[in-house]
Amino acid sequence: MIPAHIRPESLEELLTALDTASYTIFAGGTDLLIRKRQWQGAERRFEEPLAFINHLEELKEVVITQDHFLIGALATQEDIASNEALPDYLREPYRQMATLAIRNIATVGGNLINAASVGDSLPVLLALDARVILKSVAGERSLTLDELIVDKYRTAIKKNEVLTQVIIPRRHFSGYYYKKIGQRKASILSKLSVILLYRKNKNLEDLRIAVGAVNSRPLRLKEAERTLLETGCIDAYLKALLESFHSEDDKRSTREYRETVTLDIIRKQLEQLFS
Amino acid sequence: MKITDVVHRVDTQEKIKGTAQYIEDIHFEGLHYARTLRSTIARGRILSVTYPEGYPSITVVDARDSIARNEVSMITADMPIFARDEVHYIGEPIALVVGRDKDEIIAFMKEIDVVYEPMTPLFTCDDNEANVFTRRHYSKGDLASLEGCEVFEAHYKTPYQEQLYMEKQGIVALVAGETVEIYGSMQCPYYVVNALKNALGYPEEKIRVVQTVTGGAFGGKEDYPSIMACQTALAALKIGAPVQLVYDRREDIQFTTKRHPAFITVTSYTREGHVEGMKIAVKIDAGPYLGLSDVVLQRAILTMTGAYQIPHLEVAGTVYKTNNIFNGAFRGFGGPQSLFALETHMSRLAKRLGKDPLTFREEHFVHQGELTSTGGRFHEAIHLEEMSRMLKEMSGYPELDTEGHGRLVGHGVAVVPHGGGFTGDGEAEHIKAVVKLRKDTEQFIHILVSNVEMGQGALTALSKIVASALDVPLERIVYNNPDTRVVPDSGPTAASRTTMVVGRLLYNAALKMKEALQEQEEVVVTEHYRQPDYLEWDQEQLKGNAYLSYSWAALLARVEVDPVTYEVTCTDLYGVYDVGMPIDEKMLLGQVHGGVVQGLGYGMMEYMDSKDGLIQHNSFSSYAVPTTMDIPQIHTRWLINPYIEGPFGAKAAGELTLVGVAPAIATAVADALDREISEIPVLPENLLKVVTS
Repeated sequence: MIPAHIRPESLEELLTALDTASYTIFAGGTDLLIRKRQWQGAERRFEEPLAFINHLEELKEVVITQDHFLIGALATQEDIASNEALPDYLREPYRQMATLAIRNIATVGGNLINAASVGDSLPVLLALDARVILKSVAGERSLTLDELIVDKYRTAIKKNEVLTQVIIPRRHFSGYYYKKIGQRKASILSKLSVILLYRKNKNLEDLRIAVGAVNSRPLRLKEAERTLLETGCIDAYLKALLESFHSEDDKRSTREYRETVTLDIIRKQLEQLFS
Repeated sequence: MKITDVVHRVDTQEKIKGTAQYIEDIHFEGLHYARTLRSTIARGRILSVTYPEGYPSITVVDARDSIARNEVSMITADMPIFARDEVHYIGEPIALVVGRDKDEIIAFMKEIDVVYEPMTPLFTCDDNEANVFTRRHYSKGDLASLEGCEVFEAHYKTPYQEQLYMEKQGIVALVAGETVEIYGSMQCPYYVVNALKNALGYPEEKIRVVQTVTGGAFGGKEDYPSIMACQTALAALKIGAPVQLVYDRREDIQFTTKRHPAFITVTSYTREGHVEGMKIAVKIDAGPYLGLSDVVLQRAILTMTGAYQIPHLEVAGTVYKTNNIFNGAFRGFGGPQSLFALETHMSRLAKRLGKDPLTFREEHFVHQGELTSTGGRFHEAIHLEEMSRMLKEMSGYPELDTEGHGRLVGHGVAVVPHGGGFTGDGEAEHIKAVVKLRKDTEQFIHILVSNVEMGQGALTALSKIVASALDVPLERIVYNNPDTRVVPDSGPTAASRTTMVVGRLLYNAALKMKEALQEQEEVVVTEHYRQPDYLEWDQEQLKGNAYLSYSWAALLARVEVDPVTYEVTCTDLYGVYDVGMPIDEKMLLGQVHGGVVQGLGYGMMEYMDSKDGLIQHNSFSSYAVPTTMDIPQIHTRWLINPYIEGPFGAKAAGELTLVGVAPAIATAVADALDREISEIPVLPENLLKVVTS
């Protein structure tokens, strides 16, 4: 017999519950409901009781401080896409996710916790050196995206923890490039996505590149990025990128396409940037 | 009212408001649910099926419950209602599991144990005669006599396509007294009646089939509902309660009929820039049962010369038996495959000969009075030159917009026919449509036909024809969903025949009724189909007039291809359509837009692969169909060319709007990349290969 589902009144109550029993945390539910797809009309059966949290206002806040964007885990994807106080480079990937109806209920935290290889918010957050706050009754810890996302659909979050906030350092970028490729122009999962952020005055001062949906996790080569910034050697960077790809043929695309086109897109952007 | 009056679609309100009752919405007292136990292997013997104990409220219905014949009768009856000893494709129905609680049915099904002895399956078209269902052939002139021609042979390949009607397949069967009643989403109520007569051995009086509001069909509900009706009828008879069988979306995508994948070889013989002859071989994969495939093949080969006069011709077609999914009807019915091959070939030939692709086509256009590829005569006026001129005028041809802002721009043309109604003498020999009009004492006029509204606008079009012929307001016309207890058999809702053929019969009936319009009592007028005397057809030789009449379309697609990602954007689709006289311009525009979108999906993105007999792209997230963001600017003009046999001059329209779109787009992409393309969809993955190879 599965214990009852819960709907805690506060974060504190949620953390206490998570400390005593195992729950599946249910926020927007757009991924969970699909995962438990069942014959229409039959029960969607979860292995664990659900903890419904989508009403917790304290986790919905989006705050902009001097140095950070603080995004509550329950902010919806559309909250980010439509928030004019946030920079375009952050909003754009959210704007191209799913459909408006889904973005209105799907959460920022949910896309991270789901940790799908095709999660379109992951590359931009990785490029921005975002951290996530995980809370439990024992306290809180902060992880980078690299630490959070262990593999496709696997995170480092513990059973008694909940993701409460995403912290994005505010940096000045003078430009960005975002490209998502799917089987059609909208409302589609990515075959691949590329985000490129840079600050260029006389010289290129900052450059970040992240790739989504090619590997099982979002990909960013910090070391190679630094070398690229220092040397301007595009070929070496692309070689490093190619060597770190481990894509596969699947229903949406081919390994050859993903890898070739990702490299070609980045090469074209870099050539413009370094010219 | 007048036929030219602008009206609102009769069914718009209830569908937009959500009050329309689809089969899943209708309440039936004591309704039971059914789920299908399916084969998990592509070919083999069933050694045993063991059902779990301890489920008193679950009933299994399988081949042992068959009554007269364990056959689904379509054109032939080679498909069993339930697999008995052998299975021939993954997903083949073995049984229905019936109960009142869906969770219990799921639990029961998890415990079923089916033991198979696998046999070697066949997933490719294999020329061993044992694996061939049918072969068809026709010829014209004397291809062998051609000398000094330049020979160009090319192979073309087209994929599966899923109809993806918004409403999934759904049927409810129940027993009322001595009668078996079927309710459901369907195109052809009398196909279902005939299948039940054969399966149950019942006379027609003991069978009642009622079409419920149908949320799209595109051919997918032409043959398939017969299978589900036979299964649920057996279930309802066994348990004595209504049984509902509604597929899940993935089940529907994976296991119901698709458009036939086709492999087409075109060998052309040109001399002095003119095509003197063609040799064509069309191969289609039927899956394990014949179903409608031989008819699909006939339309494919009879469409094979398109809008062109080819003096010497050899056309052969083969339907192959495989252990892939069972294929069936889909808007265009063989035409889209042939016309992709032909139109792509014509554009390739034009390029090889250094000719403008539209001019090259014009030099081969057929004309009124000439013989068709099967030796019939084109009786109707044909205005292909004028259509070509209109197409040039509206698109600015040949001064085309080539500014792509960094993207490669290409243009492609296609000029295509679609034959209206059933192939050959099918309307007269097989369908023998009967329609009735009934005026009741309240002065309402009832349209009594078995043709259905499935989203295409039949309800409005046929009502408008009758109201206009009688010159009464549209509100006086009653056209309920067909109930075979009430309506005669006016044939299937297929082959773009509803407006043209059934509409004409209703028009005739209305003219007869007109004299009696003032009378107080009930009046019923019956009208039978009669083939025009000037048409002749030899079904054995495939000689004569293959179609009652032809509708035509001349298309030009403009595409932009990203030179880095190979993403294709179709920016504009220009089309000139000859559908005789448009019965309702707004609805016809709806057909054009829908046809363009479905054709664009077929040509550009709807990729469906089968691996070891199992469809891989089985969901909305992997099988991508166009959304509004993918739809080009659609520019449409009509060539008005009244058809003497059609109601108010109307010809076939529904399928015509789809069949030429894929080749127009594919050849535009070939033009943009300056490469040859011989396969659809033109996925970026394939373009990358084409460009780098």
